[in-house]
Amino acid sequence: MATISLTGFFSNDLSIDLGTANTLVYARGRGIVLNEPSVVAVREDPRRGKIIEAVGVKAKAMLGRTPANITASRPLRDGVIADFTTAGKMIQYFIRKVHNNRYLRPRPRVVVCVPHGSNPVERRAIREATEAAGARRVFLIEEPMAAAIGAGLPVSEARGSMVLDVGGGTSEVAILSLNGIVYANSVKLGGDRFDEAIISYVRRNYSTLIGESTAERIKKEIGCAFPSDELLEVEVRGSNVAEGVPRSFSLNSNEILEALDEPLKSIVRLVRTALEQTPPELGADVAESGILLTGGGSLLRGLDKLIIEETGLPVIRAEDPLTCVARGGGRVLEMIDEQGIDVFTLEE
Amino acid sequence: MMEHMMENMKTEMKAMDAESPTELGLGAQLRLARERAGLGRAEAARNLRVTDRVIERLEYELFDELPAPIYVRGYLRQYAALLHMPPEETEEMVHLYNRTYAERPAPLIRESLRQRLVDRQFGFRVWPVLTVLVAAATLLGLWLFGGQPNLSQVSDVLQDKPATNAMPGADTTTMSGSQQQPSVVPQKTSPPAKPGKQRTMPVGRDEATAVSHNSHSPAGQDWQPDRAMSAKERARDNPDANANGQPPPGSLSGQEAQQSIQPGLAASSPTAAVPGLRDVQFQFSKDCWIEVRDADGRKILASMGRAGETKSIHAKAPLAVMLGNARGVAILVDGKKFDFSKYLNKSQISRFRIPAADNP
Repeated sequence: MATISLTGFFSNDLSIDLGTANTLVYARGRGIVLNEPSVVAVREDPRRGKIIEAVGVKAKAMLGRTPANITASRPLRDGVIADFTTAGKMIQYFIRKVHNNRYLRPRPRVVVCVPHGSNPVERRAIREATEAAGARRVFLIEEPMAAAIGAGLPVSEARGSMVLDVGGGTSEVAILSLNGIVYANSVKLGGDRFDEAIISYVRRNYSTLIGESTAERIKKEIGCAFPSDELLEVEVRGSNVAEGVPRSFSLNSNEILEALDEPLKSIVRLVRTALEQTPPELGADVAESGILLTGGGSLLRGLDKLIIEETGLPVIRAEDPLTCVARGGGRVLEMIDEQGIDVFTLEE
Repeated sequence: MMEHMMENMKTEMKAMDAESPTELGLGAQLRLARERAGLGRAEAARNLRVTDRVIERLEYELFDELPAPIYVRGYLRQYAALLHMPPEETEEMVHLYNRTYAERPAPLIRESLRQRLVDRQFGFRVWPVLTVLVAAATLLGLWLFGGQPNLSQVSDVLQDKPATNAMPGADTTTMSGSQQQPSVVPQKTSPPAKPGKQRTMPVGRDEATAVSHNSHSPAGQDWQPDRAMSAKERARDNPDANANGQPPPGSLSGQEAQQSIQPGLAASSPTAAVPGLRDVQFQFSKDCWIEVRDADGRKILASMGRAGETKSIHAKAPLAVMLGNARGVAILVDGKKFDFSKYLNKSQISRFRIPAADNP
C-alpha cells in the first residue's frame, strides 16, 4: 500500500479519452500529452508467442500494409473494448509513455471517459484493463458529461445545456443540468461509419476498392454534410474490382455528401429524439443557447449547418473539439480534489 | 441596459470621428458590417437561428446577458461568417472578447514537486498544520529565550499589586543604593489640569490602568487608553500575575519584595528626584495624532490631540514619540521647549526620542 502511495506520488493523474479512432491522454497540470490512434500492431512470434510490435501512430501506418505474421488492429469498436488483452497493453503503453519514468512504475489515478450507452460488462472491461495497466484508482465518467465540461459548458448551473459528441465509433447526445445528465442517448455510429459509407459508395459507383486510410483521407479533405457553394475534388487511387488493377479517379464533395447521407440522417434523428424527450424548461434553455458540437466527427464540413437546418436551433462547434472529452476528464480530476468526489456521479 | 447602450454608442461615435476602425469595439464592428451588408437585425437573427435579442446583445456588447462564453464565441464566429468578415478579423474579435469578457482558462503549467506536495498529496491540510507548527515553534522560542520574566518584569509584577506603592516607571534592576530609591513614590508634578483640556498621564502601569479604568477622575474622563492593549501588555509583561493582577501565591508582596531587594532604602525620602523621569507637555495648535512609548516600550499615550488642547505626561525617558501633523504641536520637556523640527519630514509625520537627560 505504501509502495502504491509512493509511486502514485510521482505519477501525474490522468484523464483518458479511450476512443475508437484516437486515444487522448490529459495529464493533470500538463495538458494534453498524448494523442495517438487507437491501433495496436501485434507480431506472431513462433517461439515467444504474441508480441506488441507497435502502438499508436506507428501501428496506424501499418494498417492494411502488414505481412502475415503482423496484425494491425483497433482494440476498440463502437466505443468499447473489443479485444481486452490488446486494449490493456495499449493503455499500459500510453500510461508508461506519458510518465516516461524508468525506475518507478507509474500508479496514477485515472479518469476514463466511457460512452453513455456502454453496458456494465463493457465498463468493467475498461476498468480492468486500466487497472491492469497500473492505475491505482479508476473513475469512469460518461463521455457527454466530460465533453461538456471540457468545452466549457455551464454544467453546474440550473440551466439546460445540450451537447452532441460525434466520435469515431459512437455519437452521443445529452442534455445536462446541475452537474448531471437529464437525458442522454447514444448510437453506435461515428467517424468510422462515415469511412465505411465512403468505401461502400466508391465500390458501388466506381467498382473500386479503397482502404480505411484512403476513406479517412477523402472524408477529411472533401467530406461535407451540407451542400456548399464550393465544390471540392480529390484524386483517389484504388483497386478496380472488374479489372483487378489499381486505378485512379476523382471524387467531389457532392458525391461524398451523397455517400454520407445515411449516417448523417441517423445523427439528425438522434438529435431530434433528444429534443422531443427534453423537459420543456430545459428545452427552452437549449432553444435559446443552442447545441454544442464536440468530437472529431463534428469537424465534418457543414455538420453544424445541417443540424441548424434540421432543428431550427443555433448550433455551435466547440473550440478544439477533438480534445474536449479528455480535457473534461482532466477538469473532473481537479474538481474531485477541490470539491470532493460527490460533485459528479462517478463510478469507482 | 440603456446606459450601457448609450456608452457604447458614444464610444463608437468617438471612434468613427477618429476614423480609426481598430478603435471600434467588437459590437460596433459587427453592427457596421451588418449595415454595410444591408442586413436588418431581424434578418440576421433569422439566418443564425437565434432571437433578435441575441444579435442586439452582441452588437451592444451586453455579454453578461448571453449564455456561457463558449456560446458567445460561437455566435460571434457565425455572425462574422454571415457578414462575410475576413477570418483574421473574426479571430481578432474572438480574442478581444476572450481578453475583455470571458474567463481565461487556467494556465497549464507542469507541477513542481512543491506544488504536488502542497496541492495534491496533503490536500487542504498542509497549511493549517504548517501554521500550527510555526506558531508552536515561535511560542516555544519565546518561552525558552524571551518568555522568562527578568528582574524588571518582577518589579512590574510588584508594581501591579494594588496595595503596593512602588515607584511607577522606575527600573529596579538598575538601582543601587546610591542611584535610585525604589520605595520613593513620586508625587505628580504635572501642572494643574484644566478640566477637559489638560490631562496628566500617569507613568506607572498601575496608575495608568487606574486612570483608564477610573472614569470618575477628571483626567480619565476623555482619555481612553487602549484597554485591550493595556491588558495584553500586562499579561505579556507579567506572566506570573493572575487575571486579577495579583502576584502568584509564591511571590512576595510589593512592599516585602522591595524591602527584600533594597531593605535599606525603604525609609528613604519620598521627595527624592528620580533620574529618567520627565515631565512632558504637548500643546496642540492643530489637530494631531500622538503616540508616546516610555523607556520600557509601553504605550502610555495614543490619542488624537485637538487644537487648543494640552496633554501632559510624567514618564520614564527616553520616550519614543510619534506625531502626525507635527507642525501643530509644541513640546515642553520639564518646562523647557523641546525642538524637534529636525525630525520633521514632508509628510508631517515626526518620530523622535526625548532623551532621559538634557545634553550638557
